Parts: sequence; C-alpha cells; structure tokens
Amino acid sequence: MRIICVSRGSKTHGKDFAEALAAKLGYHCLSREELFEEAVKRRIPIGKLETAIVMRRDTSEALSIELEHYKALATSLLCERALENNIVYHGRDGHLLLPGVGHILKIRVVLDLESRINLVSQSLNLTRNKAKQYIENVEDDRRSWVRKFYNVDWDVFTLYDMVLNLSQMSVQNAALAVCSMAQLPEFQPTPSATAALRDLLLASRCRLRLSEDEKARRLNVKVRASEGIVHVTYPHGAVKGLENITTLIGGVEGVREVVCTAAETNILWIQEAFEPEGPSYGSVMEIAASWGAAVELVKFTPGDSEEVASPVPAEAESEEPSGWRETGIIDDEDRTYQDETSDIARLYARLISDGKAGRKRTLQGSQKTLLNSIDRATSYRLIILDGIFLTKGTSTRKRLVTEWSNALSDSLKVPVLTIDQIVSKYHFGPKQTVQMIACAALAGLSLYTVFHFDDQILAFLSRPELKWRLVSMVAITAFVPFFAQVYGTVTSSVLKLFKFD
Amino acid sequence: MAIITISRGLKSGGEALARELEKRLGYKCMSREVISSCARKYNIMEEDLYQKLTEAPSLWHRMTKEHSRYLIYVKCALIEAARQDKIIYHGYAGPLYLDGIEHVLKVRLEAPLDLRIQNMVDDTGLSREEAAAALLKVDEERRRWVKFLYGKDWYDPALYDFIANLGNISLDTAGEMIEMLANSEEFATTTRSVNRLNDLLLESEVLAAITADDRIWDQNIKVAAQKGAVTIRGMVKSRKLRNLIVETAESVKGVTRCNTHISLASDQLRGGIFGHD
Repeated sequence: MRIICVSRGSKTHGKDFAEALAAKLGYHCLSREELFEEAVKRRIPIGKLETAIVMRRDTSEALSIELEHYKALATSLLCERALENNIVYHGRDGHLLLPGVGHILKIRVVLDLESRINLVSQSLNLTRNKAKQYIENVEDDRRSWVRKFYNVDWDVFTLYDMVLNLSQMSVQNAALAVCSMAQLPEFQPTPSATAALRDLLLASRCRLRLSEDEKARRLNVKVRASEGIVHVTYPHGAVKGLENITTLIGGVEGVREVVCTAAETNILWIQEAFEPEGPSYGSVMEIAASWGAAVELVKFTPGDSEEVASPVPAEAESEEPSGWRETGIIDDEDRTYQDETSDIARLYARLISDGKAGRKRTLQGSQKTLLNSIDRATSYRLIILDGIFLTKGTSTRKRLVTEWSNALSDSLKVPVLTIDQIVSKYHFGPKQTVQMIACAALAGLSLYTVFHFDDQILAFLSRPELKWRLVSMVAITAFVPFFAQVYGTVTSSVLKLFKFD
Repeated sequence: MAIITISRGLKSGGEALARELEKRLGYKCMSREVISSCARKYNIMEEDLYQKLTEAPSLWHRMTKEHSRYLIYVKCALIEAARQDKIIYHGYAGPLYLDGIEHVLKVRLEAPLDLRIQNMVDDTGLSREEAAAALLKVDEERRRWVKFLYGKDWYDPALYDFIANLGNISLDTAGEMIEMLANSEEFATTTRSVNRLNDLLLESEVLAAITADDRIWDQNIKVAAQKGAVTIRGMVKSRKLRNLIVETAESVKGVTRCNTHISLASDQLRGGIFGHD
C-alpha cells in the first residue's frame, strides 16, 4: 500500500509523468478523471459542483452536501485501491485527499509557461494570447476548487514533498529519479498509516451509505471514524431524518459503534494522559457548550523517532499489522480496541454522555506525526495542547509545549491554548469574581474622584510653574494606563460573565 | 557533470544541503567566494557589493549607476566561476544569472516557517517573535529584489528545476534526488551549453564595460553574443553616444565583431511627427 500522489496543472506533462512512474514501479495508476466518471455513475452532480466553484458562487446547502458525497466517493475509491495495491494517483488535489496518512509521497509537477502555451496552442488551435488566458483561467479554477474543498492554497509548496519542473527533464528520467525516492524508508507504509487509511475508508463508506438513502442523502452531516467507532456530527436543530443514521451506518462492515453529536465546530484536545474526573473536563465542557462544539480527543505520546522508523516489508502489507505499539498508533493485542478503563476511554464515555463526543485517537511520534494526523478540512475552533512531555523537566516541558503550540498554530491557523490559558481567557470563576469586584471598585473610585474633585484637579493641572507642569504630566501619564487597565478588566470580566466571546 | 544552484529563504538549510552535495558529488561549494573574487577583480569594497546584492533598492535609489554596475560585475564573476563546472553555488541570484544554461540544475529549498524560526532562534538567540519578524522581512526584501531587477516572482516554481521541502523529506533524501538529477543526461555539460555560457559571459562583460562608462551607463540597450560576435540593440539619444557604445563593446577582450541595431531617439521623434502626415 505505497501511495504516490502527483498534483498537476493543465498541460504540464503531469499525466504522462504519473503514468511513466506507475509503469516503472509496477504500481496501479488512478486519475482524477476516473473518480469523476465514478461520481457521475453515482448521480453526484459533479458538473454543477465544478461550475459553482469555478464561478465563485456561494454553494447552497444541497450542493455542499453533494460536495461531501464526492469527497467521500473519492476517498473510498482511493483508500480501497491503496489497501489492495501500491498506487500512483494524479489529479489537482492528490496531496490533500488522504489527510492523516503519513507515508504518501506528494509530488507537484510544473512546466514553464512558454512550453505550456505552445502545448495549449497546438492542442486547442488557439492564438498565443488566448492560450495564455486559457492556462490562467484553468489555474484559477483549480485554486478555487482546492480552496473550497480543503481550505488550503494550492500553490503552497510546503504541502508537497517535492516539486519537479519538467521543462528540461524528460518525463522518463524524472520518473526514474522518483522511483528510487519511492523506495526510501520515509515513504514506506507504517501500521499507523494503514490504520489511518482504514479509518478514512470506513468513514467514507459510511458517508456513502447515507448518500444512498433517499432521506439521509439530504442530511448535512460530517462523518469520521476511528478504530471502528463512527462519529457523526450534525448542526444543532437538524433532527429530521437523523433517526435512521444509526441503523444505516450500523449496517456498514467494520462499524463497532456509532456516536452522533450535534455540533457546529470542533475542539481538538491533545494530552499525553487525561484525567477524566479532573477539573480540566469542566473547563473544556463549558466552552464546548457555549460554542456548540464537539470535543475530539488525541492521546499523544511524543517520541523522538519518526513513525517511519520501521517500515512494513512489502510481503507483509496485506496482513494484519502487528507490533503497533512500536511504530504508530498504540493499539492492543489482536487488534482489539482500547481498554474501556483507560483514561481516554473513560473521558470519551463522559463526553458521549454529555453529547459532546468527537473522535478519539491514540498516537505516538514526532511533531510531524501530530501535524500530519490532523485533517485540515475539519473546522477546528480551538486546539488544547496540555500535559504532554510529562517525562521532561518543568522548564523543558514549558518550552516544548510553547514550540509545539506555535507550530500547530502556524500550520493550522487555529488558536492553541493550554487548560490554564483557557481558564483565564474564557472562564468566570470565584477568582475572576473577586478580580472583577476589585477592579470595578477601583474604577468607580477613580471616576468618583475625578468628577467630585474636578475643580481641585483642574487647578492642580493648570499650575503655571514648570515643576508642577512636569508633575501633572507624570500624573496623567501614570493615571491613564492605570484606568484603562482597570476599566478593561471590568468590561472583559462582564463579557466573560455573559459569555460574549 | 552539472552546475547546481541552491536558492532558499534564510535559515532553510541551504548551506547544509550544499555541504551534503559537496560530499556526494565532489563538486566545489561556492557562495560568498564569488562576491569576494568580484570585489578583488573590480577593486570594490566587498561589503558594499554584498549590500547592493542583498538589499532591494529603495524607491529613491532605484538603479543608480553604482547599483547596476555592481550587479553586472557580480553576474560576470558568477558566470566566470560557473565556467569551472562541477560547482554548487548557494549564494544570491544563481538561477537568475545562469538562466538558460542547460547544464545548470536549479534547486530551491522550502522549509516550514516554524523550522526556520527555530533555526534562527538557535543560531542568533533571538526570541521566536523577533526571529519570525526578521525572517518575514528578509523574505519580502528578496521577493521585491527579484521582482524589481528581473521581473520574476521569487516563488514561481517554474524558475527552478527541483524544489525540495525539508519539512517533509530529509536532507539526505533531498541530496540523493539532486545527485540523481545532476548525473542525468539532461544536465550534462555539452559543447552547446558551454558555448552558451561563454556567450553569456561575453554579453555580461560588454554590458559591464558599457556600465562602467559614465557617459553611456544609463542607455537603454540590450546585448547578445554568439561565438565572439556581439549584437547591440536599443535606442540612444545621439549618434555620438551610439559610436561610443560600439567602441566600448569592441574594446572588450573576446569580441570579434560588433553588429549594431541601435536607433537614434531623434530619428524616432522625426518619424513620429512627420512620418504620418
């Protein structure tokens, strides 16, 4: 199950390159066009979707649901093929289709503009200017498609492993060079990658199962899976048709449990060890309730070694992975699922009973493993990163948590906070009450003093001597920020109290 | 055999990759050496030259004589160095000055901002915020510099043959891939590519000679060379200036013939006023 994804623009020799690469490696080649054909067979209005995205129209809810159907179809086909064989996929969005699967070799193929203009001019019989315009339009359409589908920019090259310019290289030689790259350890499948692929396959099959039912087809739900548990999130108030979900999804092979949660957004909670009965739970639940968010749990054990440390031998790929504890997802013997008494399982049970459960996962690895495991298309409003690097000293732990928080925040453009920061930013407890009362008293006293003794203050400020003018200047300079701080604390406390974010 | 140029943002691991390739291929690594040899050859302060090469000219100082002269000198020095073959150049403007030479493999390194910030923090002791601000400022300066001088987008992938993302692949893997490409037939040194390099050097030397002359440095002309024959195109203000340009070009060592297609601004003006009545 080795996977190479080739992202290509129009007329860049990307298709030829992908086919040459697949032929040299003996991999199966799958194109985006094949996924489109399959979508048409399944009545997904792919043409309508393309037009809406290209014309930059706001997609209606019905079209957004069809977008989810297409995404599920593409993911399931790609996962099925990838689990059966080694594959080369080529299309505009190859590098984004399988989020969380770490071992994919992601290549972008480009060609210089002049060569592309010549190719378009010849194939479509256009003038140079029209050919150039055509290329620019197609590129813009692709950018819109990728932005709409995955919420990222197509041209951000840090999303690829490498970019190849075929202006000077022949397709065959470029493919030959990549062949040996594909054999390197970092692009070999790991047990965690296989598990991620299976989760994606299960989630996409469940989403497709819903799309086959006349009533459930129109539901605007998000489906994700982890270790056989399928999580369905739906907007608050959307009740019609939901009653069938559990029955429909429960019938899909591999589903152990279905968890439905009403949620508008998600909070990702990453910790090395959870305390299901601890005070942190209440703090997180308070903001989850006020935002209408589902809480996704990731039990993450940082490790120095990359998850590629021990690649799975080719002949063992089709077998059930063993020794998972060593290289990726920590899982239990005989591929049974996590101990029901583990911290994450107990916390998850609490979340289910409170109706706020997202996914739960257990991961081990580096910062890159964590970043790769997060689906960029999922809407996260907050990431909580706390209680990791437990074996390190306090100062090292603090530094590492800050570094990882910055990396997550930079990469995902989502605020990353610790539990303490959440408490101070969003919560209104006894400490905040005392603070608010004290600041309100100070602010009131300041205002009373200013308005009651205004004549004396004005007289003091308008003394003509230089010495007193300097003193008044210092007094004003000190008073203004003091009052601003005190008044700001009162207003932010009031907003917190009434849950205005 | 090839010439490899490495472009990257500050603190992206460019020097480390150059050393890795030096080890793998046995090529010579060059960066600041090009500027030093240029400073020696043209008797300029190395720091001045470095500054002109790294800082985008301000709106007020856009392309003074000194600026354009220094840049031409650096171009000459880089092409001169490239004639040695088997070099890895990880300094400024490599892919821009050696554009169009077939045996030049243009590599760009991409690294996630976070990794670069961390490298900057480790190397300089700055805080994360200061490091991030400094990196973004340098990136913007370089982008503006390339856009202004060459009309090209620093981030355009078509400017490079291979872009490696060090956030996802190791230095070793990037090195292996580049080694394979450098040894491929597409980047082999051929008589044709060497001739093109020699032509490019002659073009730059003629331009350097013209730029060095205070009377003609700012004339709007283009120079092309082929096997010692130089062709100059453009428009100048007077016949005297045209003759001066030709004389200067002919005085450059290696120029065997000088073809001129230089029109006079005064002729154009006359054609414009009286030519269509």
